Amino acid sequence: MCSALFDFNCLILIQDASCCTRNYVDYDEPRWDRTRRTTLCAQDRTLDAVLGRDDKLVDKAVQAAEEHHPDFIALLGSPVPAIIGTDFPGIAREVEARTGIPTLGFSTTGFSTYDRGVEMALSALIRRFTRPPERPVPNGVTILGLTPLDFGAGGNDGAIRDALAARGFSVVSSLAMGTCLEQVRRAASAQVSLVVSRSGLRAARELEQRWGIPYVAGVPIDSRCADRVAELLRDALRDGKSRVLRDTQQAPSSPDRHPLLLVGDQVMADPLRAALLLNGDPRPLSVASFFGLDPALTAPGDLALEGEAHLLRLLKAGQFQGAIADPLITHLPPLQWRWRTDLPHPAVSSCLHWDQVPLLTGERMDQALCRWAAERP
Amino acid sequence: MSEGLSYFIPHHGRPKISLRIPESHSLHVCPAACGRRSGIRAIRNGTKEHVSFLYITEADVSSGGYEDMVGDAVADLLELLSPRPRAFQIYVNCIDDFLGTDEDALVAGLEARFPDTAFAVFHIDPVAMDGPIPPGMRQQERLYSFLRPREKDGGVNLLGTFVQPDPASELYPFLRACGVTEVRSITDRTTYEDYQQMAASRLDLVLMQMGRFAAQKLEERLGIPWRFLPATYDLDQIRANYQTIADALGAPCPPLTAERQAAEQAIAGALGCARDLPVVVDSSAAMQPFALAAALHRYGFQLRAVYAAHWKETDRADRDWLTAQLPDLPVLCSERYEDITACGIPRNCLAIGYDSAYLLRARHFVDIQRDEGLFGYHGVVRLMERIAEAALHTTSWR
Repeated sequence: MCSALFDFNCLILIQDASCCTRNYVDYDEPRWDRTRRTTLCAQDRTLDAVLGRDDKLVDKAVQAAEEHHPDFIALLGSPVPAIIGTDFPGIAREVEARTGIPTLGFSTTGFSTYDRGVEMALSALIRRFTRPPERPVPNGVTILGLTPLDFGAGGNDGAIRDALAARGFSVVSSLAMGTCLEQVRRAASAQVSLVVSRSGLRAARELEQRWGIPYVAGVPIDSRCADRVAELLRDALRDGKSRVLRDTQQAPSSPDRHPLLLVGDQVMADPLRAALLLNGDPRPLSVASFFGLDPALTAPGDLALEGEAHLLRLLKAGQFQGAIADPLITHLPPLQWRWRTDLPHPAVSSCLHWDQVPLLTGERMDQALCRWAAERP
Repeated sequence: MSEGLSYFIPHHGRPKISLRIPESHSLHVCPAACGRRSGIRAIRNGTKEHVSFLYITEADVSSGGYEDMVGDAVADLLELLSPRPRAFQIYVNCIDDFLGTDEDALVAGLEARFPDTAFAVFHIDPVAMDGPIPPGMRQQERLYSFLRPREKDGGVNLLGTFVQPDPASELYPFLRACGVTEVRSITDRTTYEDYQQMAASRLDLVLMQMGRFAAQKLEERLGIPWRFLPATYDLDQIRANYQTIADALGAPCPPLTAERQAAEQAIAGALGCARDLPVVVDSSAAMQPFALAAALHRYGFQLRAVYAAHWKETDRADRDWLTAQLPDLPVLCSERYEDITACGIPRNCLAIGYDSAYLLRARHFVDIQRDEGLFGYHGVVRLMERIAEAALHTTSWR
């Protein structure tokens, strides 16, 4: 959630004691910097929680807003407010009434995974701030689901925007990296949305429902795949229908032909599968995700992982030839003697590997995909 | 920043040590978000084999069933782990404070089910920071709660710190000269039996505030007397501390003349390098930042500010002394980072502590953390060496 709001002039208050904010700052935000003050800890304490002192949070928010002059305020929950039933939307209304500044209340709980928070944030931003389209931007695209927790902070956001621009598209909004509130306001001026992670799907569907803007789910990984994404975007512009970048020509797995396991965000993993196919590797590949699978994107054999134990059971059963996954996964003992390639996912391995997230577009990725396709057992 | 809100300085890549009992296993029972950093830290610290997580859901909390899940998780771990842990450190988080978990019943149930294994519940609950005993102190107390009474020997325990005094410190020969046969700390225990031997020690030296509650409880349970000797950089106070230790051990106090002279020389050397640099001391470097600042002022350093986002009453006397001596000295005791960035301190300063160095982008950064490893005259020598080194080199900030 905080990561999705980082780029905005937004005052984020987390109603926690300290650990939740510390987790975000140290482990989930590679862009955190001295010059940014986006996220503050509200220092929740036992007595305040027991006595239901929501008024304290309201006062802190009002005082901080006077000092920081944010475009909007976001109030976030954590496990303790979740179990005592704090009404964040209600508190947000009170803060907004006192400050006159748009305020969003999010009942985040700490029991869910990051993708749910990003999804909530993007959806709320669009519902609250996006204006009805006045003059659609020709070939305008709104990117949804761009976060450092999926793409790192090493330039993938710019590279994706560049890949679209190079193919004749105009990026209207880039949510939520390299963005600002004005981009959210103009999001419906785009003629099509590009969803690059699963957490952007809900917002894309809301744009589709409200303003008939179709979406394409896919990431322009390597040049060939980027061309394919551009093709799908043009198709969507032409007929107004949403699409998913997914290969359909992969060879089926069989008892003597075990698939490779690709663990990651589903929207990103699907294009990777397609990119391998486009690079001449038709062998079977299953996508698995710890963060759920969207039925519209799921292919036969894809797996929604219940947890690490589930993944371990699958790997130990020997049903996969190898894996492309975060290094914390590829280094699991059952994969030790199998083919494996690291693809760091900061939502999994955090600061341990976030500097190693590769640029997903460009020559290097083209070469990497050729190599993977050739190397695979 | 408004009152009651904290800005967090990122500690990307900075070490954070978790204390553990040898041959024990830590089981964190918490929401997924709470366990994330403990898991990453365990990987970083090379202790991941000793840590497991039982993630609970909102449904588990509502049903109250998660206490039963703990026993099953322990059973699974005892079957999987080799060697079999002798003890379990069961960590619960803030939410547990509101769920009314019967901790004694939980431990009794586990001990009955797994009779050859010891258990204790640890609370990671900063939400209880407003309680009578801070969470960090309660965690330290739990660490020693596994100790069982033993016949006393000539050992001494060091409590409270995460890093023990440098092995080259005069503390160790000093203790030997006072008749101490073994110096023990949880960080140097390699087996559970070794750890249990801490119960045989005749004295606890508490080197950091965080260990005081543990020492009180050990005195009550095991009859081990204790002395509180926080790190100090004042040579006379160091002398007094050694006298306190010698008195507690009933031994004459060795003079430590050469060690004191070495410290005096190191001070003169550091002063020669940093005499003209404005100095900022912050509470991430020293548990008693005012005591450190006061000592530096007495030695002739150009004290420019004290940034004490966190400080304790034990530091009160030095704070009062310092403000009386230097009434215009900025003393910044809040988490408002603007306080320090906006008070006119130049980047070309010597910042002792990461927090002030980071906020100021200080050209000269003395990287010490919570006095770690620094004790006695040798601690002064090491500090002065680092000051001299920082004064002679420029820190680059990305």
